[in-house]
Amino acid sequence: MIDRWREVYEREYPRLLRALLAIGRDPAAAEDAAQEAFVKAHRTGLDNIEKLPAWLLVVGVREVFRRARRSRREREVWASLPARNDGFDTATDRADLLAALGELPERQRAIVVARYFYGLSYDEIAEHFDIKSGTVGATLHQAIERLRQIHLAGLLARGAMR
Amino acid sequence: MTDERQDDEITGRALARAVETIEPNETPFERSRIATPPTRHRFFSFPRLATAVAAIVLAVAAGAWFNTLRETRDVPAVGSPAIPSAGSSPTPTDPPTSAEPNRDRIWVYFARDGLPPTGAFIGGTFDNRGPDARILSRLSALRYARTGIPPGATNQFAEPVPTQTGTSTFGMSSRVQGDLATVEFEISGGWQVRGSAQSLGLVQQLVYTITDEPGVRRAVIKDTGKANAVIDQLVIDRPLSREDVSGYSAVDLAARIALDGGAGGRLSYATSVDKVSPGLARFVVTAQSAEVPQFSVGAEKWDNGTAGDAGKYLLRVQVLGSNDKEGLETFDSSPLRGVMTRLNVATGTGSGVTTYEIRLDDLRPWRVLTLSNPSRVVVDIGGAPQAISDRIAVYSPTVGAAVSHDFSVSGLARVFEATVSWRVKDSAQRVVASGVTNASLGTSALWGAYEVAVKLPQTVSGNVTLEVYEASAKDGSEVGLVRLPLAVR
Repeated sequence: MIDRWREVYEREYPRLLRALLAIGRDPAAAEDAAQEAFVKAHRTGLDNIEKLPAWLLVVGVREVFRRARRSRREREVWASLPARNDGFDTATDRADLLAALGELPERQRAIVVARYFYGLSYDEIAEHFDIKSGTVGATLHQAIERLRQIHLAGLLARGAMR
Repeated sequence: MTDERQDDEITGRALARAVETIEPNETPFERSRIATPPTRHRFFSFPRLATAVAAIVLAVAAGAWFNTLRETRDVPAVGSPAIPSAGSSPTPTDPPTSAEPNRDRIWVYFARDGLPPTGAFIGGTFDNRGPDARILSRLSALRYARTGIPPGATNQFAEPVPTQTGTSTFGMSSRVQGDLATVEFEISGGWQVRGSAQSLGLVQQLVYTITDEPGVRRAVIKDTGKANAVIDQLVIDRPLSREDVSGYSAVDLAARIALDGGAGGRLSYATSVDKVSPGLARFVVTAQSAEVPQFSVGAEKWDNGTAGDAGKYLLRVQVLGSNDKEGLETFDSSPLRGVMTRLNVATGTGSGVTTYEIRLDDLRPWRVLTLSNPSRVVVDIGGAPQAISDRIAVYSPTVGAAVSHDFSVSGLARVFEATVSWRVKDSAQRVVASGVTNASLGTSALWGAYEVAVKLPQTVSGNVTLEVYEASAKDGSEVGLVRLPLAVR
């Protein structure tokens, strides 16, 4: 039994933690929420959970927002992103995007991460986040549009300061 | 797909990559709440886990592990006599209250998974009445450190959260003789670590923190009343230096790298730690000359005198040219503790030689490369031990990183005809991608940089191993191989 949990944990935990960090922006709260999600899954039992990744994400997101302990340290996480040259976007770009994500309303943050980082389908998002399936696409588009605007504003502001 | 949806998709994917690059402080399974239920959860909510743990204990009951366990747990109970020691000061057994004012800044070390330990200043009470008192102050501060733990690091020596009623004892004694410090620990409940990663982390923290005392290079760690210490399955029965526990292979202290070049003119330097790659310190001298200036680099032992002038080793970097500023610049970082700049102006010539002493926590593998336009001498110190051999260093991706099907590998190499070979193996040890690339420089004392784009077949996923090596010109054998586990998402 322990082995099965270890496998699940090692597969799902890193991804969940990153998602919750991106959504909640507070390392301590993300860690807490991710651990709590696993405790809840553990109590519920693996056999009773369908689509575990999405289940963990939904429970984790709920925990993150429930606590919403906004930490002063939050900016540091983005500042310390590694500079990896993958030829497309720079570390600054990524940090800006993550910062912009943090400016979105909580619900939109969760849905954007569920769609693009977890790769959940519209139907899965509708089901797990309890929204009408018809509105998932529109909400996503709205969120991304805003993300782009905030991101752009950040770029302009930085350019002006140079 | 409409243009609009396509734009959304592009932004969404960029965001996903951004989320992917977040490097959180991941709790390993062993320390997760489902593996170690905290006291606030009652134990009966984990019946299956408890059964499994019991089964494991039974299974190994006959083995050596059980003896080890019993030995570590077999510490004197509350109220036992104090540890006998010579020339030591007793340490407080009560944790200081968090509201305590006027806390001193104390330099201690924290563990990092797969990396050498990293130092940081934390609050505590520093007893400056001699080497033993200082060593015990540092260990005590580390034991009760609650804040100031660097990101990505852990404290394996931390006081455990009290589990049951009853008091716990914690005592230490220290005796310094020459460059050797012997520290005895009395910890009711034993060392609270499990598994090799945690045990090694704890030993690293103790050895580095104990040997931070000026003049002390080796530490003996003992369980009270015993000739050695048994930390989980690790038996500590000999003096340990920082280099014994840092995770790097031994470094030749006599090694030197030099280049005949011109005069550098005006020089300036810059440093970074953990920026290029985890565990790596970089020191860069920039010259105003078109040609890379003449220089030499070599390591030496260094015994720090005062707290602000710390370190155990130094790299002496001598460059033909003049630095604007002289004097010591200190850093609150590991392994880079400070840079002392000295200027020797040769009489009559107007130009001089600048000596930079890079003060370091320990002696770890170092490399030098040069860059042009502007002329630079780059000294790289350390990196992830697993990603470094005598001729290959991989800086990116990092050990254990999650990568996509397209990623780039970069680092430094010092190999025959600059030919760097690489391959990726899947979890069944099948080679799924391979190739060769050229470093900017071949066999020489100096290192060259390389970068290669790796493209994995879409069918590959999960755990893979990246191997980078030199194919020997003599017989084609693989030398200097480094092996990095990666996860393909």
